[in-house]
Amino acid sequence: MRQAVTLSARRARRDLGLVVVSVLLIGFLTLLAAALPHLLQDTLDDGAREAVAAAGPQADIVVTTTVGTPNASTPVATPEQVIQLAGELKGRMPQGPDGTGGLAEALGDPTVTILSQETQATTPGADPALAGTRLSIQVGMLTSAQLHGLTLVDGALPADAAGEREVVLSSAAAEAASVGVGSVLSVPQAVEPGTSTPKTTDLTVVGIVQPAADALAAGVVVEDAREWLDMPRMWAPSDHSTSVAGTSAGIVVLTSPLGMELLGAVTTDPSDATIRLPFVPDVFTAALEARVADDVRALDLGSDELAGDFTAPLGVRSGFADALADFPGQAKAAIAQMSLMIAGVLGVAVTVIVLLSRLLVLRRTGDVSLERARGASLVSIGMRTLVESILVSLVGGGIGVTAAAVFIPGMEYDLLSIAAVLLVAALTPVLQTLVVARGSWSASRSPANASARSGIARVALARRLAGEVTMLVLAAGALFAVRSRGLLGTRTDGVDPLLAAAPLLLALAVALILVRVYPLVVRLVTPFARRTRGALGLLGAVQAERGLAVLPLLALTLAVALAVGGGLLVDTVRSGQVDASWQSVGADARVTASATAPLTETDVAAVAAEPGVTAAGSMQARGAFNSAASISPASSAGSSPVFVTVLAVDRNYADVVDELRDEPGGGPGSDVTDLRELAAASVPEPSGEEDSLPVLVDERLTERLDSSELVMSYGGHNLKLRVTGTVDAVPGYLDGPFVYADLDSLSAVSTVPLVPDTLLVMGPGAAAAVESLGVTEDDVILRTAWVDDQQGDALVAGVHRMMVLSVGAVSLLAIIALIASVLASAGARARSLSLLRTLGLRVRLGWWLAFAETAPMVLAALLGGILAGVGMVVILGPSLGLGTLAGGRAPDPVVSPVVILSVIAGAVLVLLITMVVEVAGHRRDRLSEVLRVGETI
Amino acid sequence: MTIANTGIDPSYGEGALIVCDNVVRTYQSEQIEVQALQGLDLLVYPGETIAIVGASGSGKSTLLNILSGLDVPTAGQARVGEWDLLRMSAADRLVYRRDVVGFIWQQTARNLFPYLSAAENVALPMSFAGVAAGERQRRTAELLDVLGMGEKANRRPGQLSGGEQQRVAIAVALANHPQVLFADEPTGELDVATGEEVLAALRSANTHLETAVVIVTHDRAVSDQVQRTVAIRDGRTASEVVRHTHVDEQGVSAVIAREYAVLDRAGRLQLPAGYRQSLGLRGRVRLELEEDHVGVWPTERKEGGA
Repeated sequence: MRQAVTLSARRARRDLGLVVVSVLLIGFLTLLAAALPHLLQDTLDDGAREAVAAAGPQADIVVTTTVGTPNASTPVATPEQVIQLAGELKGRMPQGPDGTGGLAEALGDPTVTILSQETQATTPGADPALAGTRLSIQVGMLTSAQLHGLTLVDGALPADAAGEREVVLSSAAAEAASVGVGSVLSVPQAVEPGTSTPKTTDLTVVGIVQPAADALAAGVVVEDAREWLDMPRMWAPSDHSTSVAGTSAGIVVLTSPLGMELLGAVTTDPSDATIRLPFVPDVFTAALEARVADDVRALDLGSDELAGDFTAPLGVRSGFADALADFPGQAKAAIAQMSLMIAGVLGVAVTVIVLLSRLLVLRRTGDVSLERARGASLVSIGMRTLVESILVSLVGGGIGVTAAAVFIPGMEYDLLSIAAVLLVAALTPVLQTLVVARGSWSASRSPANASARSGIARVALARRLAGEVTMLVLAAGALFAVRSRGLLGTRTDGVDPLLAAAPLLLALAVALILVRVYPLVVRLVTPFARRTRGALGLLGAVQAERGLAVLPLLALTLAVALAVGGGLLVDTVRSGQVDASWQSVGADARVTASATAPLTETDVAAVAAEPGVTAAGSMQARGAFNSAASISPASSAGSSPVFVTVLAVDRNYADVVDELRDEPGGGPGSDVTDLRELAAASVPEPSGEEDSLPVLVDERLTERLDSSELVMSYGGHNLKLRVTGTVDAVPGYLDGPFVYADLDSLSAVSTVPLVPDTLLVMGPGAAAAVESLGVTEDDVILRTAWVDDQQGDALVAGVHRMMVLSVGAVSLLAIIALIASVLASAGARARSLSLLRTLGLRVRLGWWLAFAETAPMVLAALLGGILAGVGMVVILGPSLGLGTLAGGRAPDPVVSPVVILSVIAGAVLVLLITMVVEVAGHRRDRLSEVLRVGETI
Repeated sequence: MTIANTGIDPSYGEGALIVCDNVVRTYQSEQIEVQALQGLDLLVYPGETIAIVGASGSGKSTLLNILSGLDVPTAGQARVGEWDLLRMSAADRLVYRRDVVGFIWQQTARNLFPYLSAAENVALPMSFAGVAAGERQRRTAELLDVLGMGEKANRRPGQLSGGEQQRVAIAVALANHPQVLFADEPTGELDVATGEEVLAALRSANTHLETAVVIVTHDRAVSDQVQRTVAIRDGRTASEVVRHTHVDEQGVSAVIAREYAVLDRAGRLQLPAGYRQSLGLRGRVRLELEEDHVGVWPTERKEGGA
């Protein structure tokens, strides 16, 4: 035992340099194994938080019931019961398996809104000029949430005392109702049985309030604040001044709980009570999001667990599932892309571990051989190596985990990944040592018969070929399976092993093919090299003919494939985002005009004249979304109409499309011609065809309509259409099918003149130009801002971060792999170099030997890696859900020369670094010593 | 393990420690077949010291590797003690290398672990064999003392001369009481004086520990000092030189060496090249059986032309 420890310890001390490098490498790989899955999970969790935050109140769980007098015919609750239920409801929601991680954990504090039915009110003693105004009011109860959300401007808050029917209202409501502090609002009481005269109840306005600025979260408008969400007229009274029935205003007044009770006692209609349970985005993780989605779907307020002793009927609704419907798909896409990179990085890492441990084992081959010759068993050799490699792995793992804890505080460790890395790190040297030990003095008896020996060689070759073919078939099968099943087949609860392994298999397959094809290429090239003057050509040819080392080739091919694939994926998603931005915005800037401030021709002309604007056009969209327009064949009575979106475009619109066609997704040039011809065709002709409106239709509509004589129902009129062409490019932000008509022509045949509601502006000065219109920020969408938003999305940014980190990691690993493979043959090269020096080779040309040995491998890895990387994007792209991250339809794979050239430049740099290491390694070689003793490295 | 039935004619090599009968070793490299041993016969008896000589490529080292259990013959019969070298399993081979044979290589650096001291190197094979620590220590000290290295037991190979390293290597090879010690050019890297030291150490192992010693060498100084020298040519045993010490009537001792050609089991005999050239023996020769010898005559011209 002591002997074994001495042997192992002394040997490790002799190989200290390599052992330290192994420790550091294992540390780095442990860091990667800890950090990359954490980064994936972190990205998904960020994405879930962002999605929940974006869903906002739409996702809230809203519980509704009715509040009224207890003796009513239908069971109703008292305000106190509702408030009590609100307080208890969160605690009754489903919990996670261990008491956390369920719906209950995801919910914030509830807000309660109690609001009476709408009733007509009068204002005795008010200004006679307002006598024609019909005032409808709803009385809301002033709960603690609402009390916190308002500030008193004038007067006092309603007294919470018996007999007082005091109310407060907003300044806007007071203005709409022309009331002030001291005014009285009379609302009708329920008609008591046996009486015919309706009575009224007077509500006294005692105060005017405004929203409390400090109660509103940053960026939240008052109407969206939870406490006011269910009484929308509180701050924005409804105004129906255009109604033919005369002027009317709808307002909300707030009273105290006792005031609410008093009011309930004299009205028959029960009030609506709403308990709003908001989700807290900050507590969300991807796992919690999935669980909450399930819990919300299964929510049953009829059960005793939730309702408890609450007897009034409860209703529940939540838009959580709808609001987050896109998230699982986006998460799948993000997982798919990130796991691809993680598996690739870990694959390269494992290969580099194998390479480095091979270096160590090669250095110890003589020792192992001597041990075997002296009678050491395989078990004893294996055990000694195992103990050493376990120690090395544990120290390396400790360094990696410590580094992870320092760089990423508070992270949860993926123990499985770390354990896998450490296991590989611990077992690889053992297995390689055992292979060497078993091979040394293997003393296998070969047959005396030459044909029997050839038979054995043939069987070995056939086995190898069968193994390689199986590998290729496996790789092809995996890629085919992943591609054919698509992203829907991948998992959302973790990494899909088949998808993650696909790049590894692809790179392995490419490396195998390279190993087989390489000798053929070398055979073609080396005769020329041998004929060159001087020794370099001959030496280079001899080195090149030695064949490719499979492990370094695999590591480098995989590294290049990941760098290329990762870069191309990022480029493809970015290109898809730009493409989608044109689709989603329609131009560099899009202005949506409000009803109160319509766009005019002058506005369009002014914007077009602004510097940096290349085109500006307007249109009015009336569409399929509100069933405002439909098309049907003129002759087939009774056939169901096709709802369409009619884009009434001005004559400048074609200029916008003309500019757009130079952009990705902007559409073909034929659209511009057709649009210009549409404007020209719209000029009334004396030929008698002026009664038909020339239009362009999109291809989708062309496919659905087989008649050329069409009638369009538009604005209550039937218009005869004349289709003059079709368009390919349609706005992605509107639903089709689309019909393009000239704005002026369509306006001329409409009862009400059409006013443009959308302005599209192209050019670098678009943002400044639309600013000059003086419209609000909400009415303007800038394409660059849309792209920025898309790229800032947690999932997109996380995937991008993962790609960058992965490419950085594989680059570092590729350098280590190449240096390790160069060092592995450094000893033999030192002997060759020394011998060649005795024959007259200049010492400074020594690097040529290493270059001639390494460059073919780097070249082959570059070629194979680029092919595998492009293949990864082209073959796996459709299964990676790139469209969900691009923000539109799945983008076509982009094979960017910049990415490929960058990777080539990186490979050249790595080669240069390796040559520097080689030269440095042989700097101190002493010619005579190397020749006498052997290598010095 | 071992041999219940080696297939060797029991009468052949009876009492010998090493018996090689028509041993063949063929290597196949790509399309090239190399016959390193082409039916070699050899007998070595317990306690004997022999040298094996021959030109480069004659098969000396191949034979030594086979006898050491590091290689396996392609055909023929080979036995060391009770071990059939063609039928040993991997486990047998391990025990064989551990307990039956010891060997040293020509390169001094190859025999020892550079990071272990001389004593640790000697103790290592015993630890592989599971020898108790006390016994290991005792045996190590004994061996190093016998070989004159007791005072340098704690030095590492780098701190020893080439001859000292080889002496330690001999101690390592002898650690587990082998029946035979194989040495492949043990003095090849050493000067004459140091080579003498190593030879003395081998002789010491032979006389004190009664271990048979088989030395492969080019060095005439070595081959002249052993009882028997076996020459190998073209993968076969060609001749043997047997030496004995003769003391004359005046009490002066002299070593008498007599060279014998070796007649193999098939009756084949290799005539020395010098004999062939001087008598013009080429192609067919005529044999004549006389009463006490066999005559070999060149074919007469007219007879050859007939």
